[in-house]
Amino acid sequence: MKNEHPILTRPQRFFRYALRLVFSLFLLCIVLDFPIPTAELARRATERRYYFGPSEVLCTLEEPLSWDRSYAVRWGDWYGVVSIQRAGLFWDTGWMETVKNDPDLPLIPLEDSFFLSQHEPVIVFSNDPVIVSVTLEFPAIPGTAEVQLITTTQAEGNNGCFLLSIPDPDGGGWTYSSRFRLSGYDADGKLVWRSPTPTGAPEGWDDLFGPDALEL
Amino acid sequence: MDASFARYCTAVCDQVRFRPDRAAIQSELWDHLEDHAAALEEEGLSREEAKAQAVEAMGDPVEVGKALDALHSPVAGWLLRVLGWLSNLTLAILCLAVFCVLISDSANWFHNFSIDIRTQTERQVVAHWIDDQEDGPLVAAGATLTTFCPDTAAQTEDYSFSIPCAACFVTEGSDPNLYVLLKVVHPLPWLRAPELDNWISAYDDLGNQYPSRNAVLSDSQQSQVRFPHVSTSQLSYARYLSAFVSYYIVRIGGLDPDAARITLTFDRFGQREFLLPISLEGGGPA
Repeated sequence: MKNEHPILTRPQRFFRYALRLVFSLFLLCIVLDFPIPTAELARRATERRYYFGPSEVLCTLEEPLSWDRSYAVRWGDWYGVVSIQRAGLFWDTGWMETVKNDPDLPLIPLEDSFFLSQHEPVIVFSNDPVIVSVTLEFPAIPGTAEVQLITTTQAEGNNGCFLLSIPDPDGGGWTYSSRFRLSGYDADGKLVWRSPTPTGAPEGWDDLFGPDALEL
Repeated sequence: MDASFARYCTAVCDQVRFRPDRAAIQSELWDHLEDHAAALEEEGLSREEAKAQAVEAMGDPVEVGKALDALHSPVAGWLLRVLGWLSNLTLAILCLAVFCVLISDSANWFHNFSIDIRTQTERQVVAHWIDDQEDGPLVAAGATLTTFCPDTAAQTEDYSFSIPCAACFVTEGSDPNLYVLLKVVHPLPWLRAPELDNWISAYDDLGNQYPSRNAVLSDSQQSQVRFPHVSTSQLSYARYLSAFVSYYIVRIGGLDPDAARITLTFDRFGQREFLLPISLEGGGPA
């Protein structure tokens, strides 16, 4: 039973295995096009691609915006939502949307317009810690139906972030609305702040719904 | 098979707790015993006497085994085996990944690591873009096209900017349009394709402002605007996007014909990230 092959010592074997592992991982990283191992790194890489940040994460959105994970963030005078996507076991950079903060306004919506039947929630940032509930109202015309006042409310924010899901109206259809109103309420349900009632054709709010219908 | 050797090796290996190393230890002991016995036979001993003396010379098998056990720690041994399995597994996954890439998307994958596009291609890229934007071949439009290679560069924390090629497109009776091929180098592949689309603005040496498409202008800024916007488009198709380099076409419409220099700038969030001055003098026909 003569051994004709030299047996490597433990240190030699350790070096050989370690070198093989490191080299294989390096090549694997290249072959897989440089995957990002964690969601946090993917978020930060996305922000850097947008020249944004480093930001403070306000919350992780429970309803990601068409991607695999979304974060509400703040950086200086800006609010933003960063959305990233899965790449197999890893992550990839995604996209982000930003809005400039106005400290004089208690509520800042991420977008100034949206679709009635969109599947993504409307995100509203709060500058006032007293506000614990936010309501979004806007007139819309679902399909061929008459104008309706669509209302959606989120009763509890997450670190100053509110997600308001747009309900699908009866009869389906969709319409595009840039005229909406936000209302913020405190823990007792008392109105803290309300954005100015939008005006203009085709839906005149007071004419269609009456001023009383829009007040508490 | 030599029974005395086998008994000795077994007695030694019984003291070694790390079982996976026992075969190697036994092999080494056996070789050593064989060599010693052979040497003794050459000195004139019989085969049986040589084997017996070789075994006796090795010493107490229990003591020898304990000494070898100290050198073959089970913890280090198992860690080494796990490392070996991991390296083999990673190598196997690598081979599988390479195979999958080769049979599916090899063209784009290999291009992903090309560092640059050739200078000839850069000029063609700009010319092709102008053809597409200006609705037809340049010759048929009766326009003049002047190309040049500005010697300009800018550096930010994550990116290096340069302009390999630019072209000034002029039709009779209209102000010039400037097309700039913007090259962005990013050593970190995770930061490829920075979001510059429609956020680059410009100003020239005559004080004219050329805001980006997405810019929100104040009333005082509106009075200085010469043209509605600067449009920026990333060349996103595979040929012009690699892990380390991204290309963009920046179009500045309605350029002041008397301007001698124009500067590209990017400050989406109120912080001026880079300035790229471009001299508009010189250049030649495309």
